[in-house]
Amino acid sequence: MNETPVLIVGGGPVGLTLALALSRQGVRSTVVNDRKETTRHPKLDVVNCRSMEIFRQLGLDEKIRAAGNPLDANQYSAIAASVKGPVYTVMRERHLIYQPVETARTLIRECTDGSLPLESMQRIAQMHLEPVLLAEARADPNIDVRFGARLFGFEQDATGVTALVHDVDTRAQQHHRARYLIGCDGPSSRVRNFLNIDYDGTRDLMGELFIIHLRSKAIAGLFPNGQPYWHTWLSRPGFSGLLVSPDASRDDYVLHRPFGPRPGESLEDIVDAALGTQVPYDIVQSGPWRPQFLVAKSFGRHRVFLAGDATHQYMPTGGLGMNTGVTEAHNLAWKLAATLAGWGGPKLLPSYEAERLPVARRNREHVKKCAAAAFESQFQTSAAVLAPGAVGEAARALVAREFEARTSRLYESLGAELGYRYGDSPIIAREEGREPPCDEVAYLPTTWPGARLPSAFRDDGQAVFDLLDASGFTLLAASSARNEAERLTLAAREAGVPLRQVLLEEPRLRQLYERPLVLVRPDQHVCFRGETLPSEPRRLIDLIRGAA
Amino acid sequence: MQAFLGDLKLRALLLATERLMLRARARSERVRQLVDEASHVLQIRTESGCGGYFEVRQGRVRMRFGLHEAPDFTQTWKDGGDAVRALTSRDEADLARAFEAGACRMSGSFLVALWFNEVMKLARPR
Ligand SMILES: Cc1cc2nc3c(=O)[nH]c(=O)nc-3n(C[C@H](O)[C@H](O)[C@H](O)COP(=O)(O)OP(=O)(O)OC[C@H]3O[C@@H](n4cnc5c(N)ncnc54)[C@H](O)[C@@H]3O)c2cc1C
Repeated sequence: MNETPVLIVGGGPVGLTLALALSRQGVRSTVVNDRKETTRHPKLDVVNCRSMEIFRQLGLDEKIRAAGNPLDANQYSAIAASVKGPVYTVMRERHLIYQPVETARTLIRECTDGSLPLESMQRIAQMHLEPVLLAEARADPNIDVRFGARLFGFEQDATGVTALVHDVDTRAQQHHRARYLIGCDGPSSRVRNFLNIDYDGTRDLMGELFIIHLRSKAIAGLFPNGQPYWHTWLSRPGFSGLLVSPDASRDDYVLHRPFGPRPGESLEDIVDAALGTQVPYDIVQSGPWRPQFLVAKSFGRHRVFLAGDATHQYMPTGGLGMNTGVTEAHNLAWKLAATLAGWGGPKLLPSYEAERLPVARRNREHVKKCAAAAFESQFQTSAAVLAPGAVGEAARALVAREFEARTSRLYESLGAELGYRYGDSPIIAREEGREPPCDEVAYLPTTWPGARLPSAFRDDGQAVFDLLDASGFTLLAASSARNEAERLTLAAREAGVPLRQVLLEEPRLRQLYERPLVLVRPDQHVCFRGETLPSEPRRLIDLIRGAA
Repeated sequence: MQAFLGDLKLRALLLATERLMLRARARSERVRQLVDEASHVLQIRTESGCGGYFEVRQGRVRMRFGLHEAPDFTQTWKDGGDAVRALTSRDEADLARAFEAGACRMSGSFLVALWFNEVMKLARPR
């Protein structure tokens, strides 16, 4: 019998992130994954800003960036008749997101109003991200990685979970005993099925889309400076699609079509039509797939929780599939660690669902709007887009305007990425008064309880996020609130709760953080703010550790 | 003659669709929820002006023949027969095929089309 504090079922990006996040908190885990190797399909093509902030906290940001799009390469999104042209417009300067990481870093460093993330997004294919996470997990003594091992079933009791796992080759049985089991086992989650938890939502609203993965050294030459744009949307009478280059330094491309080949149409016909010319390429794989807009009705029961695609399935418009899963893993990791360490109260783990289910639903609505926007931006495409002269120019300008107005939502929605809040959570100290707006597109920096702390830099250039305790709470206090900070520290110590004090002298930061006392959780979300502490600080500590 | 028949089929489809929706609203909690939350007008028409619109407001659905002055989403079909074929197909991608082939133009909010897809999926007899 293998004994482990946490058994993670599924070694995809979310399961591996969870294992790594637990390890950073000193918690051992076992990861079982039925596939014997990481995915060979490009799948995701963006690790978004919030996930990159999380990977920075885990010390993985540089490794992930090194495996993806070069730091000086573009992250542009364009719309064109075909890759060869005519190009209607390219979104490049209008938002941080499109900038090469190097340029984005300067913009982020210069930002003083908290409106930008600490990390810009990373353009990278899932098939290149997963090996980074897997290598990191394999090298970590806290993580026992078992690929080629499939969860068959489990049972939970008052003190833990017993799971039966099969070796996929030999069918040899492994028995695991864990305090907690986390199903990160993807869209067909066996763990979710065992718990009898359904998705809510109606399947197959978009029908069957089609995807072609191809490799070519020549396609890059169709782009300025030989550097493929991240996304090239294709729209002309008789043809629509999206060509994705998940990494400008590699030869992989993914062509998305709204439906499979027509009778008599070959894959090559489709690729040539997308490119608008004939260049050499190899088709690696292709096939239909069905995007969904589904969210699990519950995120777990008792000692078993779900994260990643096991809780939600989204169409990739907006890039929130894995990225939502990463924030789920981040939310769950510190709660598991605190509970295992003994300072987490009985309401801490149940708060995972209370906090994350509403975010999963919010993201679903956002993703749906993104999918709709992607369709709508093609509505104005007419035969005139291919016409010469003023008529053609006007038609192309119209499509360009629609694209920038609508499809930009897919990329620029920092409100969805950073702006989600856990305001109704039972472990957040609620505040009277009017909550600031919480838009999906525009991110509004705020320390309203439940919000992610706005990112900022100290006068010496240090990122405030890097000062936060990843395994405990951090009290950001103005020097005028030093005594109050001491009282809270004392109360935390009494409850055995790790709490770090950071005194902020900079008036700029005090203004940004709105209150002299801002209490931040290990997942960088604010759980309390105030001019002063409540009269009984211990009650506040008990609330935020899930013991009130 | 073919256009006339297509228009006729489209009108019959619109009527039948309204019936299906009303029945589903009475039977399915999810459809009721979708209808209750929605407030929009979806127009289905041909280029020649035949068609109708579904007005969904305050928990009610009603179909009217004719053209609405400000629909939230419009499908304009070259031919009523094509519209009927695509709209009765169980393959959701048929609408995208028709759009790409130029058989149908669309304007307005595609979210309304997604709403319609979902209601029809739940409303159609399996
Ligand atoms: C074309 C496409 C583009 C996408 N683009 C993006 C994007 O840009 N951004 C984004 O965030 N997301 C994107 N996604 C979604 C992203 O790929 C998924 O959200 C992500 O893979 C989810 O990760 P996961 O770890 O939750 O699940 P998975 O990646 O599905 O991993 C689950 C793992 O569990 C294993 N497993 C399953 N059952 C068992 C069992 N019984 N026992 C043991 N192991 C088991 C599986 O083998 C698998 O390795 C895209 C998806 C597609 C298809």
